Amino acid sequence: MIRHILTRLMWSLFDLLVIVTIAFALTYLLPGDPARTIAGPHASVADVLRIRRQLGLDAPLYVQYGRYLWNLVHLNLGISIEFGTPVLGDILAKFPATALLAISGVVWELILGLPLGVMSAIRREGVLDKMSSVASMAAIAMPQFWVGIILLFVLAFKLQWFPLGGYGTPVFWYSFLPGLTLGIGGAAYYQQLIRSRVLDVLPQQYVATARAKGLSERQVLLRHVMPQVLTTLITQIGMDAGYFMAGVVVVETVFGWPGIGLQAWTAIKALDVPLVIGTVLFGAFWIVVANFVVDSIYGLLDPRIRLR
Amino acid sequence: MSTAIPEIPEAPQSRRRLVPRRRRAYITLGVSATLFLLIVAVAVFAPAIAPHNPDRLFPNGLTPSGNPLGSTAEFPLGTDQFGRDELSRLLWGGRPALLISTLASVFSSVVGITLGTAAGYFGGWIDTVISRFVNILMSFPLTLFAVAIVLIVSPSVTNLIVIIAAIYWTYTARLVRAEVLTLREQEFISAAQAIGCSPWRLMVRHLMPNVLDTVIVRSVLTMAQVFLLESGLSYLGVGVQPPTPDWGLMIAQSQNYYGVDPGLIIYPGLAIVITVMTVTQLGESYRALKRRA
Repeated sequence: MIRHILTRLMWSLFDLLVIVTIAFALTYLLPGDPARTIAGPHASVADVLRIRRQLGLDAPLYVQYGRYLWNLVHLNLGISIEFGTPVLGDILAKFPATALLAISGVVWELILGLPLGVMSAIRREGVLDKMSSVASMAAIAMPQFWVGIILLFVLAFKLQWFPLGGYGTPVFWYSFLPGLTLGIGGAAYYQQLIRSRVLDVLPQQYVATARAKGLSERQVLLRHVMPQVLTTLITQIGMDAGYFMAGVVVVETVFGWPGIGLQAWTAIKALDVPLVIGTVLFGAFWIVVANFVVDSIYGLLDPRIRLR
Repeated sequence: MSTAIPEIPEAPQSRRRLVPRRRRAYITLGVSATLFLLIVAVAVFAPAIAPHNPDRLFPNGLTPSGNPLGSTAEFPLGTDQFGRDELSRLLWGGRPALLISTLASVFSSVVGITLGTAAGYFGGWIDTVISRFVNILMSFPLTLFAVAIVLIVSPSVTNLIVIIAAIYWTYTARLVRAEVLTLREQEFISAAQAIGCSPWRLMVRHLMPNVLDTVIVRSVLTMAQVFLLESGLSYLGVGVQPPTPDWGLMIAQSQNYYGVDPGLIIYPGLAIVITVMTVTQLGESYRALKRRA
């Protein structure tokens, strides 16, 4: 078991190294001269050269790569061109809002997806099953930004139940619509996933045994079927980290939610490459960590795999 | 992940249940294929069927206060905030996303099936390298990664296709590899090896035909996902550039006018949803029909 986790850890570190190298290559491939950008259009050639030397852009590629790695190890992701502040600080300052949004997205996924998935599996081909199948088909086909705009239009603009975006107190009120927007696609996916998992588990012999020894249908479901389903669910939530890191850019932009996604989007408009690449790296880092954690706890959740 | 629990055979289903399910899949396939052809036809023949030039700013296309017009005889769906004909823009607006999603899905499938088959068949270091690379690419936050690359190489249709294909082949490759791993152990592969089949021929003639159905389904579903990704990128301003009519871009540009004319948001959004649902159902019903009973 420990050996398994250590191997995983080594591979995760290797993945991170390659990811960082790709990020470095992207930054390096960039057209245009960062020194020129910082110096401004009217700077003299001498000034540009001086800034280039200050930034270390005159060094050979491998030296720059080495410095890049060295800086990363020391948690230095570079300086934002737009703000002149350390990129990591900018990201960490905005991260709590994004984390809150992501959590609220997961909550929505579970509130909608879990009960609907289980119920449509139990009453297969029933009215609820058919309705939620159609609903999740549609939800998966809707672009997130459109869902957000429609929710804003109906619930915030017309009915005025919710604020028209932004961030404020009570936070729950402000995070309601962005969280729902972020979670609705995932909820549809969970509905389908959980439905098919429950349908897989129900015909198994141990379920028949549980029924045969006289357990109520409710107990069979909660004590015998759900643990199996939850294993799938927890791994899936872990892997959703990537989905959320990608989704937050769009959702935060629609709602003006002040997280790392909105910041990255503003940085894109300002051609602030260090901040954009920094956010990509930050997102990739979390995804690698989430994958590692999921892989590691998988064995703990499902004893049958541990035996291997 | 192999488990020690033996697989429990599914209870045989009665024919009475099986037949309607297959028939239903045929109906879904027929309906979604027809709808898909219709959508493609509208996009292809948009120049001929659109009532107006989609980029023309009509002087009479705005109210005296400068707001978009509602429905009139000349502009059936009204105009957008620049006084352009909304219907014509809608008819044209599927073209970039359809082109990008079709080509990106074809390219990603070709790369995915090739590398996935190679990884599964050869195993060893080839498998390690390819699988590792797939894992790493999957670790990038998709939208953000695409956005960052587009920022660097500038958004053009060609660049978008290449970037999206370069990300999406990983999903196909992973599926194909898993299937090839089980196929490899089967007797017809040993037979082919025994008669001296070259690895290349074995992969192309024996393995790939057997994973083709999976790849077809996967590529259709990829197309649906890419369609959504493209509209998202255009919404964020790093996809198709104005004034090109594009559904995602149309929503982004009219976002501040939903109070004046909600149709400007609703029509392009519905167009995206209907297209993506059609494509998804096309893939799903094909999969349902090909699933071994």
